[in-house]
Amino acid sequence: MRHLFWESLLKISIGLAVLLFNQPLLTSAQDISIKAVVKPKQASVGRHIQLVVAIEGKANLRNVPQLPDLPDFQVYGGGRSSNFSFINGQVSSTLQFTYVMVPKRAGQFTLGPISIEYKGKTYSTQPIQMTVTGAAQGFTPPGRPGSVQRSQPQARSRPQAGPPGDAAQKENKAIFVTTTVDRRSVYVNEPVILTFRWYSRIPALSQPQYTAPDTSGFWAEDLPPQREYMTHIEGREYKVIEIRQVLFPTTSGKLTIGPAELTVHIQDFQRKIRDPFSDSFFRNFFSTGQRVNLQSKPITMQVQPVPATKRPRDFTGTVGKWSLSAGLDRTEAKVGEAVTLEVRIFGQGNVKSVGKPRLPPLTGFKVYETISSSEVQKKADTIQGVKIYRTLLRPEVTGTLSIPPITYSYFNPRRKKFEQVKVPSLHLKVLPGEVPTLVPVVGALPQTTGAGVKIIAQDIRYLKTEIPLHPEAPPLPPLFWIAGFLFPPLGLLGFRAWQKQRDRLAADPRYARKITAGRSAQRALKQASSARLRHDAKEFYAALAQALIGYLADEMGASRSGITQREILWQLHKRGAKEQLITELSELFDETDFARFAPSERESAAMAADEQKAIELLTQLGRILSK
Amino acid sequence: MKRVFFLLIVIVNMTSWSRAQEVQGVFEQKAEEARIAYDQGEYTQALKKYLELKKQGLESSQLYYNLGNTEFKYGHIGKAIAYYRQAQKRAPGDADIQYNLKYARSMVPRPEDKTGVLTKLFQALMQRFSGQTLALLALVTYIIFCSSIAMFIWQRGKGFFWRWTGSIIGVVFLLLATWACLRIVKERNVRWGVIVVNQAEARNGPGEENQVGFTVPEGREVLVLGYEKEWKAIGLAQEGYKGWVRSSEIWEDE
Repeated sequence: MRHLFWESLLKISIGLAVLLFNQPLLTSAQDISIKAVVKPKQASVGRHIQLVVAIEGKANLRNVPQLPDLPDFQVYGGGRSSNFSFINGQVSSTLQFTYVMVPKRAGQFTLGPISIEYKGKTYSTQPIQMTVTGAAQGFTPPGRPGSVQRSQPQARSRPQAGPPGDAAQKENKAIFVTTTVDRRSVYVNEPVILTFRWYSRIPALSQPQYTAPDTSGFWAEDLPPQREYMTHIEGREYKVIEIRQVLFPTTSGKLTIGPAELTVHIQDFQRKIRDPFSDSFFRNFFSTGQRVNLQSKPITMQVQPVPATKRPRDFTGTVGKWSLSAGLDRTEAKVGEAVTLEVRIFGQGNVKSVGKPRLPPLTGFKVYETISSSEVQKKADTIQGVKIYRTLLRPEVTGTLSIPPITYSYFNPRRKKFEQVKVPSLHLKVLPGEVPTLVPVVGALPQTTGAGVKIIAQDIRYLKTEIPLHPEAPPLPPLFWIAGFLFPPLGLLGFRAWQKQRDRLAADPRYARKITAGRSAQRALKQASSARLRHDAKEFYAALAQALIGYLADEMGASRSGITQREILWQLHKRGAKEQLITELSELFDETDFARFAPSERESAAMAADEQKAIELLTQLGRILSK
Repeated sequence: MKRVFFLLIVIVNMTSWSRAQEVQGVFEQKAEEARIAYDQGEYTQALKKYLELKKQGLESSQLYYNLGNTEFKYGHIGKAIAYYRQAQKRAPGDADIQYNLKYARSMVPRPEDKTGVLTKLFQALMQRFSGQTLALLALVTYIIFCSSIAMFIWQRGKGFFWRWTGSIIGVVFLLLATWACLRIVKERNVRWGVIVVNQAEARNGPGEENQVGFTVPEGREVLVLGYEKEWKAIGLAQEGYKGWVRSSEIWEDE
């Protein structure tokens, strides 16, 4: 209803305008002129031809030119412009109508004349000759009026990969959109070029509205500029508008790029322009056409994670092809002065996702926070740029400080392997800085003393001028501690045992003699040996007898002076000594007695043999008696 | 043969003695050069010379004391305290070391000390002697104690003097042994370090990715509680804080 109201209003307005033009204004009818221009005069079937009709006159012109019947062309109202001026009482105006004609067939055509009526008089243009050639490749005439409209609901493009010609070939559309990617399987952060194309054989009546596809899971960067070109698909010429983006997948797995949408108003082909005063004329001329919503199909991508094996330690997830440079903002600084270490990572890939390089241990520096910035350049089909990491350092010691070589690892998806770039060591000469004046913050030190001593200035005490060669308290070995804590109790036990032994020896003379029997015998034997060397046979045998009798008496617990040789032999016999041993001892007793009490010359050899025999006997008897 | 052996011993002793004299001469020369540099305010040179001595294996309280003085004059209060601590560890009774350490500590902001007098006395007493010195003292009293028992035994349990002397020395030995054990356990298990950079950032975990929890001033003595790669866990006993600092920002006691 509303639409009909506006159309009626327009009709009335036009009618009134025509009536007004029938009335003389300030000028004569001869001042009106009408011109028509066609561009180009030669065109192929399906190409757009522009027709411009210009009406000029010293009058307030509002007339609409009357187009001839053009059955061999599709005609669209392209627009209208007017210019009106009133100078020195003279009215002049210019009206310009623009049409777009699309030839339906080849041949020679005559356009016009196009006429206009003003004050009952008709003004006409000269006829224009036009040549329309056939389509270059298997031209097939466009469908009947209304065919575009029918195809529109299904005007969806092939989503990707396939040549755009397929879409047109199969679906024979006048307008459609496609989205394609340059590869289906990529690594995380590997660039993918997403191309959106809008193919059109008919003009748009409004500014198209493009809705970019949903790229969740990707980092998207536009790749300007938008490109426009003509292309032929199955013999038809299409105008193509291309928009490109670079996508960087941020996660692995199956990711889907959503459909791209384009909304545009196009000519409604169901209506023809014949009668300027008919409903269809006004609808075509003034309406905004038919609204078409085009949508591409979604694209599924397979995104692989960066290999987990053989990952370098300094890998931070960066993918692409990168180079590295680093430098200090100065070569010389004082202690405490700020120095900036700039690490530049440049190359191709997602610049914004380039990870922070891991700096080596910076000995002698205080390291502050790192600030990053990036510069992105879009060239051809690549995203490239540089990521700069600036780290503030403060040298803390003098001398030449070195920053060890900095390395940076990234994954190269083309080579499918990790690569490492490296910059050599950097050096900074550090000079002594201002020595800070240290001020006590704790009032622990007194300023005056009770004895009237006034402290003028306080400072640390002076150096030690004598430095010993060895440290003052070397750690003592564990053996020292074991021995130190073990010997005193052992000594104590020994002392106690010695005391007990001493007491027993004092309390028990027989025990004491038994204990000392061996030593007494040894002393006696030593005396005997000494006498033998002096050839003193009497003393020798006396000592020998003392050794034998003394030892045996002590062992037997008998008195040395009280015991007889016979008693000794009897005791030995009782204690199980062999008869031969007893006999030998008896013989030796006799020998000693004889030598002592009947002195005679004795050979040294005989004395030595007796001494040896005495030792042997004492040894054997000692074993028997100690049992 | 005996004469040859004797001569050999004499020659070896003379050689080692002359070698020791030579080394002592080199050390003294270097120490003197360091002292001159120190006097002239060339603290970098002085530090270099002293560190060369340390690198050559000379580790004494005097050297650490001088290193502490040089770092102090250089304005590195943290490193100065760290060196003084090393010197005090080797010579706990040295008055110069105690004074300079106290003076250097007075430069470092620290919370109000709420420790009681008795605790302070106990802590001072604990730090007065090294674990080894205490252990040696304990050993001496132990030997005296055992000797007292021996004398008591010698007098057949009738000596009044040795009974009481032994008892008192036994108690002293037990106290010294306990003290020595505590000191040694503390020396071995409780690690101390000194912050050597200005306002070290203590993070909530070992790594740059962790948030900074608090900052510690240079020269603050902290407990070292743990290790993780290039990071050390520190504890501020008085405040009850714990955090992680870079290993290069703290000098741990050797």
